[in-house]
Amino acid sequence: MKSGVIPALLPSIGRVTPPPAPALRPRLRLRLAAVSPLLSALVLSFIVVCALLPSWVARFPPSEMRADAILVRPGFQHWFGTDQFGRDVFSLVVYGARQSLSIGLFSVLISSTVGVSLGLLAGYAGGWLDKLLMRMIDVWLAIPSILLAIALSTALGPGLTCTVLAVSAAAIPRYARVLRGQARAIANRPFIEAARAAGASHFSIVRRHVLPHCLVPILVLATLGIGAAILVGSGLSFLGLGVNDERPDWGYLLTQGRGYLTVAWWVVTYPGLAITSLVVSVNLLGDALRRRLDPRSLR
Amino acid sequence: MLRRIFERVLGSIGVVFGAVSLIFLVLNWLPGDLATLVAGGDASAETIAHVRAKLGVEQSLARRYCKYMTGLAHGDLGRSYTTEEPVAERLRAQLPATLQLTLAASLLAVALGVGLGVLSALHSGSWLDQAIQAGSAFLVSMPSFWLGILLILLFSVRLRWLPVLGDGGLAASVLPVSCLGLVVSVPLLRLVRDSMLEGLNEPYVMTLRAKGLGERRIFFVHVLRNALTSTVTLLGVLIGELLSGAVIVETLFARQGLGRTAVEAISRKDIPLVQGAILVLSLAYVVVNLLVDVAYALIDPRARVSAAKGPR
Repeated sequence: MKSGVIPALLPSIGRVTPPPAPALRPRLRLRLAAVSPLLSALVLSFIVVCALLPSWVARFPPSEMRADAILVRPGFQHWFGTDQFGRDVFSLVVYGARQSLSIGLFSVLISSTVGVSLGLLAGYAGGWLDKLLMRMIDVWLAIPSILLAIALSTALGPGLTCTVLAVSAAAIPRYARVLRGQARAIANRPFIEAARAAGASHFSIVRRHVLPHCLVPILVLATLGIGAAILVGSGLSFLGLGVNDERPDWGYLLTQGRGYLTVAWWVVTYPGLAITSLVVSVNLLGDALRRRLDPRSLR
Repeated sequence: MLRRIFERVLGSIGVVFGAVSLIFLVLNWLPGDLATLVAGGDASAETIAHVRAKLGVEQSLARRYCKYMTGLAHGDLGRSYTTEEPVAERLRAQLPATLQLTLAASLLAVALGVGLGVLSALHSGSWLDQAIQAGSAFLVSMPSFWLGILLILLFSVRLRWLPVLGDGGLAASVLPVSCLGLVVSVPLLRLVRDSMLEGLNEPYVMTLRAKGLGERRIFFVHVLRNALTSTVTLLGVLIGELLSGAVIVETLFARQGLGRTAVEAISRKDIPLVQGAILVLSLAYVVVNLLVDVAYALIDPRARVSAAKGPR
């Protein structure tokens, strides 16, 4: 808007240096922005298929150990090679998709629900409740998230459910912080006062007027949160606190292969590649979503 | 200004107090009999009873909490369950290693983040910018321990340039520091790039151009300086990532340090040691955030003015 007026005046001044980069930027950015969500969606749907129907994709049962095929290099028979027990790494990775994806999805579901509720409550109520809740959030944030997740998963024990709980507890403050700010801004707008004057209860105001205004940041945070949750979850597995041996997730597979680093690069490389491609796809989709939905970044 | 700083300091003390309490609650709420765990599975009933009495676990939670807090007020962090040495001493011995790792990594992160961020903004839209963007998208999506493993595979196993593990000297620190530094540099890079591009659209840039200032000077002197101001606030967030990353990196590379001490203590259910380590780490987080707030108020005149007008 400002730049629209001033360039019109500039020719009369005479010497004009055209702004170099910005003119080029939008076109190229558009290209990257157009391709990456499509690619991510493809990768993501493949991973979802693996999670839902692993037996269709995998070529061997994941727990099949073969004494004659220990630490075989990747090749035609075993695409990703075999591990120290003679298990097919490709099949293990395919079967691990369900674990890793569940950690991401369920912990985001839990943490966003709790975090959003806390944030809305604090932002809408204001006053002492707001102060109290925000102090709690400050305390929560002061403990590095991986340490909090570690402490919680020690208390809760191993297993998928406990990992999900530990990971989501560590992510709650982020939602609460953002939502609190949003709710605070909306709570002061006139239409809230109007709704109140019309006799709407606090609960229905929050549900029908405040929450819908916060959906965009929730959606963006949640999408980006899936990737973060998967990373923290795999970190827990790496430290030996996450998902157990029965149904290994990708983080656990990676950790298993660590002892054979010098002889078999493939055992650690492919599960890590799987985690990274999943998280990259989710993050790129989240970025695309943000670009599409957030008017600020459209400037 | 002074009043605001004082209030922030008081608030921070409250936060540390809360964090310690929270961790105490979480860890003391462990299922299973602690004494059995500490004494070992095949210990006799007598030994277990002895251990139980020594640990004081039969006391109520509130009582143990009061005892721990009074100890803390006197600078006593308790004694380790397993080695029986004072926790404070053990942590003091581990602190320098973690400090060295995180300081070196943050220097690397700042150099990489600011350098590449500026480069990316300067050539925004070019292949270089896109490559940097793509690289950072991947980097931020990797588990940090996998990045470390890949570095080990490349530089230690394949090229044999650097040792895999250990604390021995500079060569052994190269991989852990680069791993942590790379991970932390990405958010910094993105912020620097975004705020520089945003700054280039500000009206004052137009004024500077109209004044006849060269693009180079506008970019490096005026826009960069403004972009760096907003970067300072990010440092407070980054310290959290740095500390979390240190836990993973220290464990992966089998280095000394607070993070690895905490992880090992957790696997041995050595609760006083875990509490102590987490206390020190969250103390570091809170202090750095406090310093960042104060520094920001000193750097940015706008923050100073709004602070004078009232609370944010």
